[in-house]
Amino acid sequence: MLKTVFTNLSNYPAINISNNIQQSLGISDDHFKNLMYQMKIIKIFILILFILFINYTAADSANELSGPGFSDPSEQIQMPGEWEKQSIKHDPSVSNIDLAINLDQQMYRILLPATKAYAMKNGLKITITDSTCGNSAGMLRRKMIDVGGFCCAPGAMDRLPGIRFHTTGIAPVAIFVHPDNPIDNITLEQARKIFMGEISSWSELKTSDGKPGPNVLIRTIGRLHCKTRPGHWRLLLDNEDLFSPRLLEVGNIPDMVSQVAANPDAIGHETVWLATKYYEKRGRVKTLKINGYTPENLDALLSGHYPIYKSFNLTTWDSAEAKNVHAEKLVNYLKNHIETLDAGYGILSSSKLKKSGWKFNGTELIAEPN
Amino acid sequence: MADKKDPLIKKLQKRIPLTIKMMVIVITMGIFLMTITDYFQNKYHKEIHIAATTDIISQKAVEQRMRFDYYVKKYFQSVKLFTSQKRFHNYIENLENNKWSEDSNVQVKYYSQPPSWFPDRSIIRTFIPATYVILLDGKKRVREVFSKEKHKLPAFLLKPESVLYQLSQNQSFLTMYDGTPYIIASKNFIGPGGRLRGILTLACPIDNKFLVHSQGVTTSRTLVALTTGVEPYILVSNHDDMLPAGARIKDLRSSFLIEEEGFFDYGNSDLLVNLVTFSPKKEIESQTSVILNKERTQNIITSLVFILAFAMITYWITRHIQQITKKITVFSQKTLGMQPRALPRGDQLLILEERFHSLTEEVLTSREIIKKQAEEKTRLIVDNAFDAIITTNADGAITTWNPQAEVIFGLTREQAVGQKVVDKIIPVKYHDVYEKAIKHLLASDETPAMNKQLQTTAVHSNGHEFPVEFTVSPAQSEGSYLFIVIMRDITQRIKAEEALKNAKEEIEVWNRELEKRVKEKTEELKKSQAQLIHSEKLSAMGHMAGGLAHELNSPLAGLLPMIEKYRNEAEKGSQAYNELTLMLKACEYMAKIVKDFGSFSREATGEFSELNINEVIEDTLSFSGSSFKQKRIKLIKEYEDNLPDFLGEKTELQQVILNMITNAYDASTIEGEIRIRTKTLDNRTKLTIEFSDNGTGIDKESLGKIFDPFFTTKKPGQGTGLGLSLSYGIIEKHGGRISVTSEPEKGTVFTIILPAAT
Repeated sequence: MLKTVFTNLSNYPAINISNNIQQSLGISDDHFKNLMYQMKIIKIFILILFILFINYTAADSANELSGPGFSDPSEQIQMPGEWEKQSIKHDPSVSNIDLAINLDQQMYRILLPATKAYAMKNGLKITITDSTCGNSAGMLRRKMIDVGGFCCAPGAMDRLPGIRFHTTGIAPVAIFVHPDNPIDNITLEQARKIFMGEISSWSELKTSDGKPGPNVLIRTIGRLHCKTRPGHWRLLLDNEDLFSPRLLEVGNIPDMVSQVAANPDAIGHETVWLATKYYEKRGRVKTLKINGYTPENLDALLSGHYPIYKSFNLTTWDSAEAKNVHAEKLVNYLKNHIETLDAGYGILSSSKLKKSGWKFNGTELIAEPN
Repeated sequence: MADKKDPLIKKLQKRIPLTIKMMVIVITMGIFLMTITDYFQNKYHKEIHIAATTDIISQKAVEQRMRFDYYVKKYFQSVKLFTSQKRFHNYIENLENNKWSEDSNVQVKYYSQPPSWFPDRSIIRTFIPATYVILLDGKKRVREVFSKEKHKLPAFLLKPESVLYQLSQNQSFLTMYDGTPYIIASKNFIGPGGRLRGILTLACPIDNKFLVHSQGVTTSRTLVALTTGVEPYILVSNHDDMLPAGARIKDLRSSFLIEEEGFFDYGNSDLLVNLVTFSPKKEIESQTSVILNKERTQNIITSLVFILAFAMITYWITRHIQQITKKITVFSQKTLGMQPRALPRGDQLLILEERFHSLTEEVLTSREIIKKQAEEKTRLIVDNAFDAIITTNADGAITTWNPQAEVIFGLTREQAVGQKVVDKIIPVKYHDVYEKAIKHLLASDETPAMNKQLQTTAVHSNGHEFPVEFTVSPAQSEGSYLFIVIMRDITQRIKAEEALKNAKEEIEVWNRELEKRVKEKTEELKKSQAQLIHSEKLSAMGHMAGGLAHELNSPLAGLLPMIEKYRNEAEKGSQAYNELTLMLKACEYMAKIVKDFGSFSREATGEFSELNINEVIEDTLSFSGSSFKQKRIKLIKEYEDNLPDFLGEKTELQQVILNMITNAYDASTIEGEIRIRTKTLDNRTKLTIEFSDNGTGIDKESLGKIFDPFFTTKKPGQGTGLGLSLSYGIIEKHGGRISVTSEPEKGTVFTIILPAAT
């Protein structure tokens, strides 16, 4: 590269013109050559500085687009003292239960059978409801449940006094398209530009054999859930204001899958297992490689090469008023159960993360490896 | 089974036309089937309709939830928009300049009309009608409230917990206070230095009105409700009458089709809520009923069309059945010769059936008659056949034995039928041949003896074998072989053939004899013809000789005495005397010739008398017999005794006999032998005289001319050549024949045949 730069500089017209200047100023040839050599060195140095600056600003720009993967575990929502003294009050429609659990829709589908099996095995009466991270947070805040399930890393507003998060694992968030779409691989930057609306046609991307994609507008589909929680889609684009105004927002996962499966020009995002397996009846989709790595490749996620993922967490109460021993045991059981899950579920368990250097604060995953 | 029916019912059944019956059956069956199919159709259509409606409701539920989602999201978008207005900025800056956040005595200012910092109505119209628009200062105290509602701001909003604004910050937050769900969206307004200057909050109770507005204007009635609870119940609905708050979902399932369409992650929510779409089953059932009623109407119309079509087809069929029945009747009358019948009215099919049955019986009857006639004909043919007709089965057992067989083989039908044919009529020596032929036939369907007329011998019941001619024809009947043997006793025929053969041989012999005789007769005829010709010649010669003799006789009669006188006058021994002697001899010879001429031409003048040939021969020999001694010729006489007489002129016959003897003498050598034989022929109706010698014989060429006048084999001067011609004429004149056979150096035989006197 340097050779090319030197060649370019020597061919630069200004240098040829300077021969005329030398003649007109009456400077000796050696002196003039020395002077010109010093000028070349300065020019190369400036050029290198310029390149470094461009790279730095680009990287900084990319980092700005990405939201946080985790929140600061030290940040905690302040709750009134009376609240802290309250014990857990289960929903009045159910009575005499040992445990009340609310799980987000992903955790619910993965853990429901194991939870039922655990309840049966241990003779426990457990109520388990299927909803969202927000519901889990709200029900925890209202102290209605013993265990809350989150498909995201907890946000600051979720960190209630006396509550403990248990990260069960992480799962890659796939960027997926219609199966007929010839595009297989995009960079993270291209993914961001697509969802930002800066890349608006598939023809701006290349297929695996180097040909341009079809000349049709890209239809971006988004499910911008858990806006105040870190990770998940926010690793793609930090906030909803970064997304294209043309983004079609869908309310739930089945809608996301069916929209992409029904539209050859669409692109969406969701965890791999739900998008390609659980909701396959809604339609088939094709996951894209990001920077050459498929979302199904958990090793790539573990090593940090696959960039978008979400963290699964369960909560237990540590405070004496709300603590439930059954909850602790159940959570440990479910964490162990996740360790044994088939790779098809696309979950990297917390033990694997720990072994690979992912950072934990107690039971909660709080950062990627250095 | 039909016979067991009550005759009255049967009669009634027959009387009712088929078309009417079919109509009754079709209508009854149609009603029955329609009732059943209607039941199942209704059931399945209801299920299908409900399934289809469920799908529609499911889609509808998605749409309704999306409307709700957007409606909820608009709160957050609205608050962001409001706070980004310049007038809002200016207003807050102005308040801040007046250090409003530092006021200790806070008075909430209520607006019933849009405050100055609020966007224009044209902008608001695009967004949501917030029940409460709340402006808080930098210390999160409520300072201004804009609300169309008359009631006061709820306490939880008037003095909010700080967490409320944190939870609703930059998102729509669903929560519940005092049993009422609220949506709250907040946006902080940060001033220079990052200091919080104020908070704008939009809050709205999620009530009936909220849900109505959330669904906007729709083309169909929408029933939605927010449900909550582990055992879900209605929190709020857009139709309180039908879906009252507190109603349990499981209690509503009997009246509604319910679609729980997931949940939007409503930015944030501490409520376990679902947006549920309801569709009243009554409406679905009503729609189903409308569809089913229409279908039923269509089915009835279709059924009527089918019934009409069926009736027409039935009528058409019955017409054809009637025509067939008529044709059967005509066939029965004309072809089978049955009595004419009038066609009854009523069920055409039953009538046809009855007619068909009677036709069957008639055909069977006719067939029996024909069969009997055929059998009778066959029996007559078989019984009256000239030949024995025998049939056997494949085992060789006799099944048919006609009367002629009884005659030929001497066995009665009773004795023969059932017995093995090989044991009864086939000779033991042919048993093996028979068995082999039968085996070959059964193995290959053919045998050299089949369908050929052959001869063999058969055996009679008395053990006598006799020749027969037979044919064996195989036939197949009911899967097994049947052999038809037609056999004829040819004993008489063979005998006749042998007799015929013998007769034929005799005829051939006769033919040969006849041919021989014809040949002989032909020869004789030829000879007779030759004799006739010769006779004619002789006759002509006779006339001529007679004239000549008459003309020469007179001069010679004068000449001879004169020569004799002159000779007598001449001296003996003198020349004149010798010469006159010679002259006298010559004249005498000439007189003799004239004399022969005279005999030759002279007609028989003498009368015929009964003569005995043996006597005539002896008389002739008596005056010529001395000459035989000169040549020591042996004369043999073989006279048959008691020869019949014949009619003839003795002198002429003597001349003939003399000529015969003279010629034999002349032809005989010394010590020769002359044989004279007489005998009778043809039952003594003819006499024959044979003169044979063993002399020099006559060559073949001369033999044919021997009876011609003047033909002679003698030396000149020794014969005139008229003797045999003369003899020939004499014998012919006597009705006889003269013939000659001769062989040179062996001898000559002259045969004279004369008719005997009757």
